[in-house]
Amino acid sequence: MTKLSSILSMVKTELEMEAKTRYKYLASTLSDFVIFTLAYIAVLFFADVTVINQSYHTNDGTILILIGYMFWNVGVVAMDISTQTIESDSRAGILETEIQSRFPLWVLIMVRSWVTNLITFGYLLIISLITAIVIGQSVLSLLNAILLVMLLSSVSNLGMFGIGLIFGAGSLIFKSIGQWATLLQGIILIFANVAIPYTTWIQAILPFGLGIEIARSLYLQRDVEWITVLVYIVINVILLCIGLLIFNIALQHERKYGSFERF
Amino acid sequence: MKIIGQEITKYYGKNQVLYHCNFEITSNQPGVTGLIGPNGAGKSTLMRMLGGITEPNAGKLLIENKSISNAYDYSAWAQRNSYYVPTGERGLRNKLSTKDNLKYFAALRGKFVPKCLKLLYDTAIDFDAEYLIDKEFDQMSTGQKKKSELMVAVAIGARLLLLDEPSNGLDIDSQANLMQFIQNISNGNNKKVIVSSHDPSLLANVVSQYIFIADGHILKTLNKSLDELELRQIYQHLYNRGA
Ligand SMILES: Nc1ncnc2c1ncn2[C@@H]1O[C@H](COP(=O)(O)OP(=O)(O)OP(=O)(O)O)[C@@H](O)[C@H]1O
Ligand SMILES: [Mg+2]
Repeated sequence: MTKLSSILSMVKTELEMEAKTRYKYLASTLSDFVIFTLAYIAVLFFADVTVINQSYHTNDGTILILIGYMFWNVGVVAMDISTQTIESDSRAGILETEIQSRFPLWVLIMVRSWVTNLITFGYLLIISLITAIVIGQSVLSLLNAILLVMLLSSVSNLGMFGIGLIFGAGSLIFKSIGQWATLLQGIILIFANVAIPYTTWIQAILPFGLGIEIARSLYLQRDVEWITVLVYIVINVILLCIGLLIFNIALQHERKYGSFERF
Repeated sequence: MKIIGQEITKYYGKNQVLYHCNFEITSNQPGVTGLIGPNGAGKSTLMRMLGGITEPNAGKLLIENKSISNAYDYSAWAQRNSYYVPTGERGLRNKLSTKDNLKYFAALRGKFVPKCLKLLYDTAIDFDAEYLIDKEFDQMSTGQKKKSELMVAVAIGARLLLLDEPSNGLDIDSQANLMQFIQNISNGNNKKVIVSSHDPSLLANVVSQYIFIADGHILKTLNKSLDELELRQIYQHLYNRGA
């Protein structure tokens, strides 16, 4: 087979099988969504919408928070996929065969993350519609917000995926690490510009920090400086590269000094 | 064609588990090689290395091909030609059928999926296991899981099948049935199969080469088939314990 057709075949099959598996594990997917919904309600409950309104000179504060929350949510999903894949696949004894594949492991994980990403947007669509009804916003403007997040988060998800690969590396070597990732995600949710305004450049180091600001500006139909977009992309490419580097070193280390086994 | 291990040493972290292992396995003719030794001997460690999943810390693993008269690096060969089946009820994606598992792993290996599927149907018919094709992996019995894994390994076109303690969890009848299945697969499809076990009665008769291993050392290699009594005697002699 040619290189291209084997890549296409891999992507197609990976998507198909991941979708099938997700469907069979519907209960656990749904329970993930329950947790995300609780997080969303907590964010809305604790967030000070007036602060957001003042800071952005608008009355659409709730939607701006929703935009921030959606970036966080899809980012968390992109970040979790590496540790999840490694922990569940090594338990199932298939990580070995996946390592013997023609494609690097991180490529397989990334393709898999697209399925999860798509499912997550389906879920976000639902909670956005509910939000629209509750706060009396037009559904169209919320769809507009979701579309912006979908487009712009494709960049920040690369960075979140990169951070996830670092945890994945930890997972390969130290076996169980998932709970530390969850802790980090909680901390990020509190300190990032999700429910609070963008005030310091430190928030820009996070993969979605600038993405949220770009999406908010576009939503409010304001100008976005091209340098912001450039920095946004560069930060995420750097995070992805760091993740890839660490992950591949860990994989090589495990080949030499480990067994990929986990019980 | 031969797989050659030269002075293979393996560490897990700082723990040494294989010590200067030397062996030769003829890989281009059918037949079952038995890797035999007590718990903790290093069987799984060696199998994973033969599967190309892990690498030795010292020593060499080579594939020697007379026709090209040179020895070349093992890991690239293993990635294309070997298939490792772990012990127990693991080894395929739980929520997928044999067929979907094959589609998945064939695509990952860059194989032409329709061709592999055809091979799966042929193999299933040959071995009377068509009922496993559309069955979900986590709804199979332990013995069925092993068969499903073997069929995937054959259909994917692997030439070297590595089965780590395939008899674990099987009753006596299923064990005999599985060994027959393994032997037929090896002969009928021209596959080299390496089976690890601590159980001499499992590996008697069906095996044409034995590698005895204990505490990370290869104690002995025998290139002939043994019946159960002979094998038990050697086992007792080597490990100084009843089997
Ligand atoms: N991931 C690991 N990390 C550290 N030590 C390990 C690891 N896996 C195995 N070991 C140790 O390496 C040695 C060899 O293990 P191995 O699994 O290869 O034995 P085995 O012959 O397959 O045994 P069994 O019959 O119990 O499956 C054992 O002493 C074991 O404790
Ligand atoms: Mg073992």
